[in-house]
Amino acid sequence: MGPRIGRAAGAVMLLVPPLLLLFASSPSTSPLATWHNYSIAIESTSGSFTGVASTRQDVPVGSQPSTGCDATYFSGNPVYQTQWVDDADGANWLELGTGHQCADTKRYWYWGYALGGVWYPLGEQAGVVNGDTHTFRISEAFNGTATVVLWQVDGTTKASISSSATYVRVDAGLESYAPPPAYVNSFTVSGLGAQRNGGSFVSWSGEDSSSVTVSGMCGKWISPTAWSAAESNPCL
Amino acid sequence: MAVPTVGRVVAALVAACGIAALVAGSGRADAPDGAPTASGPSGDKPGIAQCDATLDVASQYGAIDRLVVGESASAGEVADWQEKRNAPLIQGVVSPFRLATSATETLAVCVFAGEFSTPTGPVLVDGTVPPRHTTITLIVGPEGTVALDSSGYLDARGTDTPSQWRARVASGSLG
Repeated sequence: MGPRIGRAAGAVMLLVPPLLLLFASSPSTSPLATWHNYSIAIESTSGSFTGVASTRQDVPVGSQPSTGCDATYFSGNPVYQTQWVDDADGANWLELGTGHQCADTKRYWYWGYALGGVWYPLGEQAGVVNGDTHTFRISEAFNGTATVVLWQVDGTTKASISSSATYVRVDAGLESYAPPPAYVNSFTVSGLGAQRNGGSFVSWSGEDSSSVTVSGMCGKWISPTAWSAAESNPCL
Repeated sequence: MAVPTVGRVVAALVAACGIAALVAGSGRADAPDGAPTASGPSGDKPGIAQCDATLDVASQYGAIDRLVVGESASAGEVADWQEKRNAPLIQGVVSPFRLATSATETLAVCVFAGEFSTPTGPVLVDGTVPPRHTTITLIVGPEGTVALDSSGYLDARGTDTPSQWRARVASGSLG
């Protein structure tokens, strides 16, 4: 069946090769395909991080393209409200966040890890309600037999795996694949906490650093434990 | 909403190029080691056919350049792979195919190359935006259901499959 479909497509390609070759050689020429930006707060003082915690609203994404509507999660032009525990080389991290896609009609919590540059989602939960506030926590604990990583929303464990890895940073904020005119009104990620070496959570030590990667995104510190983020809007 | 429409056209055209690439690869199925080749998809013909049929959905994850691997595997094989592929660093993973699917049901593991919008982790330490992922691995069920298994990069472990993992196990090079 595959080769039959392939031959049909090949016939189409013979009819309009210049156009197809244009897109084949430059798949990222579409604005929709090139926008990938962030507004994040970073805590990196005294590394060996094993957890991160925050409290925030799941907020609406306005004017988001109607893409990723038929595929499952992480498709189209998603916007991620998210947090990470991560390594310096960007290849390994833990993540817990809220995904928005398909003109924000498809909203979900998601959790997973990355190893060696590969992202492995461990689960998703649909039915997220915009405007509701939740606590999000990634932590490490010893369960009596092994060291485990826990992904929790409002204290409910969504997944656990065995791993004793430690990381050099924790981060929280916004990652967007939805270019303007898509917008996210200013929201605050508060109660920023960190866990080191599997110990108790403590407040972030200070405004270590931040990254707002394009002028269309906004981010600013409200306090050492609160970060304001937005897209196509000022930060309040 | 003109912009999304343009995006769909681009995605469809890029997807068409991906399908065209399948033509070149259709005669190269059943690569003995399951490893991807530069010129066409590896795997097996039923797997490639099932991946081919899911191209419309796959293109919603981003701009598809080509199918890299189309491999048939039982649900039990997929579950073993998902649960143990990153051991000993990562253990205790429970595959959704362990619980929800008959172990003998045949699935397709599809690795597509392109540019995708999956989570890539935070901004790098030097302040640069991490590059978009260039591979996605989808698991396709017999009814055509599609789930994202993972995403990564062509030059990393982004093209891993159950058969490649079994080969690593057999050779003693785990992780």
